[in-house]
Amino acid sequence: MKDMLDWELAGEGVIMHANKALYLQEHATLLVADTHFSKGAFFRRQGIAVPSGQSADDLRRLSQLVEQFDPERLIVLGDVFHHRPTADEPFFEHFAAWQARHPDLTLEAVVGNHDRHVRGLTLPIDWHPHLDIGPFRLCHEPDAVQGRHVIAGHIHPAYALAAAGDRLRAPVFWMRPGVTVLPSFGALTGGWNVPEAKGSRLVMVLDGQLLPLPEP
Amino acid sequence: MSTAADGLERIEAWFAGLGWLPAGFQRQAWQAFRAGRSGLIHASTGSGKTFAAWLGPVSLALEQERVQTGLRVLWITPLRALASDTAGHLQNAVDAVGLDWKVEIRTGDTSASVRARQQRKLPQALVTTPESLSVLLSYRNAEDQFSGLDAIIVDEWHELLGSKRGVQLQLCLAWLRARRPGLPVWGLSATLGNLDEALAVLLGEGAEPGERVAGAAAKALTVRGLCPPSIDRFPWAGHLGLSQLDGVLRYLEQADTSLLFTNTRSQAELWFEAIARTRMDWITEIGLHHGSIDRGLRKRLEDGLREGRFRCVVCTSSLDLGVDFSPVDRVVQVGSPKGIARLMQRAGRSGHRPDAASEILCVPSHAFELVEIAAARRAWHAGRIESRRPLRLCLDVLAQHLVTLAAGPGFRAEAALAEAQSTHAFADLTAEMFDWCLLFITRGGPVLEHYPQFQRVTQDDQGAYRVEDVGIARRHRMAIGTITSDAQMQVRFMKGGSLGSIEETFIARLNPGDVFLFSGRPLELVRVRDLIAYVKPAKTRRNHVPRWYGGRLPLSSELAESVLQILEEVAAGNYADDEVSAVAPVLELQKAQSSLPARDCLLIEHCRSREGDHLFIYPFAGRLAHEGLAAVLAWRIGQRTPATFALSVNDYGLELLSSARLDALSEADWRDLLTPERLLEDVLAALNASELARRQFRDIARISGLVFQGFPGRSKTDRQLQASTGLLYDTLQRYDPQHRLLDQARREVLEEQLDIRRLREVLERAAAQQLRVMALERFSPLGFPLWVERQRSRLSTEDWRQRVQRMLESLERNASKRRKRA
Repeated sequence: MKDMLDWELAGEGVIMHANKALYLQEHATLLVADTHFSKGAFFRRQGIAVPSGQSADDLRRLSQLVEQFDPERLIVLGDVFHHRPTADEPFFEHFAAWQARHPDLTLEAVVGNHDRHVRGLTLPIDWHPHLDIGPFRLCHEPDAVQGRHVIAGHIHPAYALAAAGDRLRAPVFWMRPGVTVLPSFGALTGGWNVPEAKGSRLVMVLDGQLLPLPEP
Repeated sequence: MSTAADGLERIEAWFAGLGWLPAGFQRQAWQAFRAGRSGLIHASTGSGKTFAAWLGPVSLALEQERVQTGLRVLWITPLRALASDTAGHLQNAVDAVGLDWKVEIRTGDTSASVRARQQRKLPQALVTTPESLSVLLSYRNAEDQFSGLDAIIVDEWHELLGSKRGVQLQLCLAWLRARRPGLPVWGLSATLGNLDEALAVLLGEGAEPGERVAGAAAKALTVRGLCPPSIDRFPWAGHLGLSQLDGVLRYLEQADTSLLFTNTRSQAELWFEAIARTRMDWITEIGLHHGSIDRGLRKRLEDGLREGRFRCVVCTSSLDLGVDFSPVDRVVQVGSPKGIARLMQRAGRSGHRPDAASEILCVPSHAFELVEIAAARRAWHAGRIESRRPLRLCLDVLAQHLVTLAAGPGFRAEAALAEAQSTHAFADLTAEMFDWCLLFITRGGPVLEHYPQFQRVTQDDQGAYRVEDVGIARRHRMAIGTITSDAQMQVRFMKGGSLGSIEETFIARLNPGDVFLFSGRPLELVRVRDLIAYVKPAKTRRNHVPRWYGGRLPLSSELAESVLQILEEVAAGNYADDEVSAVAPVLELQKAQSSLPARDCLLIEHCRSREGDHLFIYPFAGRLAHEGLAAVLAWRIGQRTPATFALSVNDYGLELLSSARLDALSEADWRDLLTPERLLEDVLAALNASELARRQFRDIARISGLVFQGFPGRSKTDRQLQASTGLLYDTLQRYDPQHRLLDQARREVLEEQLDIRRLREVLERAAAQQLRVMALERFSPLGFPLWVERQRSRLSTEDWRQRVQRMLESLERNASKRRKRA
């Protein structure tokens, strides 16, 4: 097991990373999904005492990825924000620091369902309804598109590996013919158990390592 | 309007007019109440406890010059299903004696218009639940509403005593007492092993001693086990006992109206379906009643029962309590009753007609339960009955209560601390713990930079703590009721029509198209939207029965002792009870293959199968203590050689299964493994490796307001506030590891999940016991149910990589086997 894994999607080589990211080598593009920034802050404003720190940690992980791959583009596959952040949110400070650290990179994103909350806010993010890169369609919801390989997020795929009287549940990369779904990047996000099906492949993200599961 | 001290005379006259004579204990309770005392009335159901408590306050009200207004008597009931019947009884009594009082209900079911009216002015008497009382305290005018209160009566106090709802109620009572010093509080309780403690908890710390009023002695009870015609065909571990259906049907045929109790809702569903399928001719005369069934349906069933329209109603603990269904003449209990008090309470639901005796038929779900039935009967006759332990220092409940007060009249720190300390639950609350709670609800936690922008409770310029945000107050009120329930999902037909509600965790495991059994019929899941599961009638046979959590009571120590005593007699060749004789073939087989457990001897069995090495141990300490013991043993063995164990427990013993070979263990090894020394350290170490504390955190997070759980029809904002408690637990562990609620989760796992007290007793006892270690060729009759049950949890001292490796190998093996077959 290791923290990176070569894979082939739509005839192109890509690299999965155990920090829940996918790197499209031929397009020098780094993808993550469902960061749900500011989720903790939203909870706190609503009277639920979740400690802060996840968004800062998430940005740190994102920095590590950027420094490792040195991509030309960084794209979030929707649900960048969990809810509308307020102006005094510590996230903006963290984010400004993050930008200063990567001055040549513009954060791009396709619009996710949660991102409607940030409509009208001026944010240093380039929004796209969806993006076509090479053979890929980058979007938020994993619906198949004729003639393209969809890479999406939205469902926070996870899988419970159960055998020999033992059970472990963890996020997964979920590959089906024509549709690939990334695990959610944000630390404070849950998971949805994907169904087992012929022809689909799962790569589990376990404690900073990638584990491809045998085909069902 | 009459005056002077004739209130009691009017009540006696009313009784006489009906041809009744007040019972001695009723008169005793009335006098004690009139003398301004508090107390506890304990008697079996149907003996007149309600009037014993109610007519004391009524007699005083009759003596008033003018009819009083505003709330005078608060009547607390643990079940909202009981509220309307109770209110009916209370109203009839005041009407009959000519007191112009209104008795109303306030529960989660109360309509918005009635709630609004009550918000302006409460009636003279209010029947409510602990949760709804809490909600009443969360409104600004709470002090006014309760300013004229003369009495509080807590019905079925034994049901609340050992739970967090009981803690919540203690806090509310303390708040009311602080505003009405000397306020009399009366509890009604079934028989308990610790009645004195129950009374002391109700009255709070430093109260005047209360009066204990004992009701009439319970009437004769017959307890009988259904012995299968042939023990060979009897499923040793088939945990549904449906093979006994014929015997049960024959019994039901002899009865006019019967109740069939099961221990879980899934069993109730299965039994109902089986009866309906076998006796089509009864279809209009049978019913299904459990906590998830739609409330309207339940109400119709209860009315039907009272009118004698049912031949049989299959039910769970949902019909344990409350009103009497006098037509019931037979009661059936399926599966072990787990405790003596519970069995007797259920038996007591029958035989309310004057000339009838109470009778209960117990249907064992596996052979050994026949021994339990005989043991319960013996213990009851010997007067041995269980206690309920009150909980202490539940900071989640305190935090919730403080937010309740802040949303309502507001509170001051010193007064709130003193009130909390006046309860039994928080008598040992330190100022430091209290301060933590205050910080938790005002700032999120003691390390302020961890919780930027947090807002919930704020201090106003006069120093009172208040909730200013209406959204937070509204969500808090919705959350108050959640002490009892899991996240629920409504079950509805596509064409409309609600069937009840079901745990979200169950639905989450289903895919559209899956068929499950609910509310007595097979349903096909169509889709899930906004916490509503849409279904349609299924054409195919069932394949899932919802498995509900809860209801997994452990075998009580009193009952376990009685069982072991019987087994010792059997070892000596004595069979004194019919039920035990019926199971003789199994007991003799256990004796021949292995050995029978006894009080002075701990039985350990070791067996090897294709699955790996099995260790079976039988301390007879109940499933909770066994879960803890299994974790500790797995941990201790794992310290010698790293291994992963699958654990299985039941009320008699536990099984450890290791897929890798285990070294042989000598008696000295076992003594070492079973030592009571370092128990706590080892339990905690074992727990870190398992998921127990994380699971326990679920309730704590919900009660303390760390998660907001969804409700059908909630707003979008509310929905985006959902987070899994597991995720939250991990987040707190990482960013605020000193969090006191994490501590509490660990403590609750020890005390409640693992029953550490009993676990310690097991090990202390084992130190003095003889150890009988048997190496077996195959599973013994006692081990077999453990092997079958597979209530698995796992404990691993291996690295997760090794675990994954092993799982993958196993998957590969299975896959290649499948390929070969194909």
